[in-house]
Amino acid sequence: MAPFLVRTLARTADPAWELTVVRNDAIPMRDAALATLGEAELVAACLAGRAGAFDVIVDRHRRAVYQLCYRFVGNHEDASDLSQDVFLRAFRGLRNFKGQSSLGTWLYRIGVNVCLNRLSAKVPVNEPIEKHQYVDDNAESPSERMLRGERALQVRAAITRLPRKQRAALILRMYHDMSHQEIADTLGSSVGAVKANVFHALQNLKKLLADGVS
Amino acid sequence: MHLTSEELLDLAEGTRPESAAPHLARCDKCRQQLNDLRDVMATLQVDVPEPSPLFWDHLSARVSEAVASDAKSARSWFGIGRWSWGVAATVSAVVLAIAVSRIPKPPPDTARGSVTTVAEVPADIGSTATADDPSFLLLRDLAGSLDWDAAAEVGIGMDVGSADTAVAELSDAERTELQRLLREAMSPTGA
Repeated sequence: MAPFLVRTLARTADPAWELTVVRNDAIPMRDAALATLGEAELVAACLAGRAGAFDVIVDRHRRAVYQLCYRFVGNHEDASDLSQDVFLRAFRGLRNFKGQSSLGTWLYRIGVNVCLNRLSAKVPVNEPIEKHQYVDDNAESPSERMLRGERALQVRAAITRLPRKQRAALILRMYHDMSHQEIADTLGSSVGAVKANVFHALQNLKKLLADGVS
Repeated sequence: MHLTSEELLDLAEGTRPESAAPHLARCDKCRQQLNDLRDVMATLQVDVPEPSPLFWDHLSARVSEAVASDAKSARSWFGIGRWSWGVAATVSAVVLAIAVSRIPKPPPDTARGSVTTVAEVPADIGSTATADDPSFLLLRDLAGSLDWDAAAEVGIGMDVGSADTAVAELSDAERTELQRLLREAMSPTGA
């Protein structure tokens, strides 16, 4: 990409040198301009083939997409692969995004489908206990922190044991603040079915945690 | 009558006030269920482990690379051009028409009237006319390696009006040649 040339000053009186002023922040400014765009403009920029526009979408939503995937599969490696797959599918299907929901909700919908497809094909691998990363909280003693970490590990593992629809409904409801109606739209079911799935997911989790699933 | 699962969930999530469920005050079982739901929901408040700070940029780079590769792949398919796909579709249609026209017609059976049944189609049809026809073999090989999803994904599926579009994009000379080929293929002698 050629640099953005603001102006060229040439001293005609002294042809021995020439001064060229180049605005060094030209490329960062392009990215900064993209970063300020709203969802609709960003999508339009992507569809128009504007370089870097989709990268901005990825940067905005990568954490939420990764966390959604992680809660489905319970380990970093698969969550990382699934996140990449979600964004690739989103890129391919960007023309189908009509702006009826937020871009985030649309990405969640793709994410849920990608994760559910993966669950159909693969037995989940939960995170090994030695890889567990504890939250740094100085108010806790090491033993308290360890207990809390183990409990969190158990909860995440228990979630990955839930049936697919229950898992999807529970994750979207508890961790992504989606309404029952939004979840129903995402999963292609009714509000009643979503509530039933969340209710049974909670009951199953109670049993799994009581049995000490890890 | 006990509370339904939906009512219990609404109460646990706080979207329905307890005052709207007076049954709770006199039913230990429902009260216990509600408390259990609330306990589990409180237990669920755990975060996803935070990956390395370097991970996010790594993920963005991976996505960017995958998207670029995907776009390049799509361009290489479409780079052949709509016009070329149109010509390919037209040539395929002509080849198919020629192949079909060369299928030998069963001799008229005057003894049993003019109705021709499926059973009267010659049994060796596959081994004589069409199977030995290089045009048909070429068409069969091309079509055999392409599944419907792959064809649809790259945009060469049969849409309504696609044949019309392909013909409309031909030059006058190409259209004249197509007419000649079709006339030749559809003539009673089979060309």
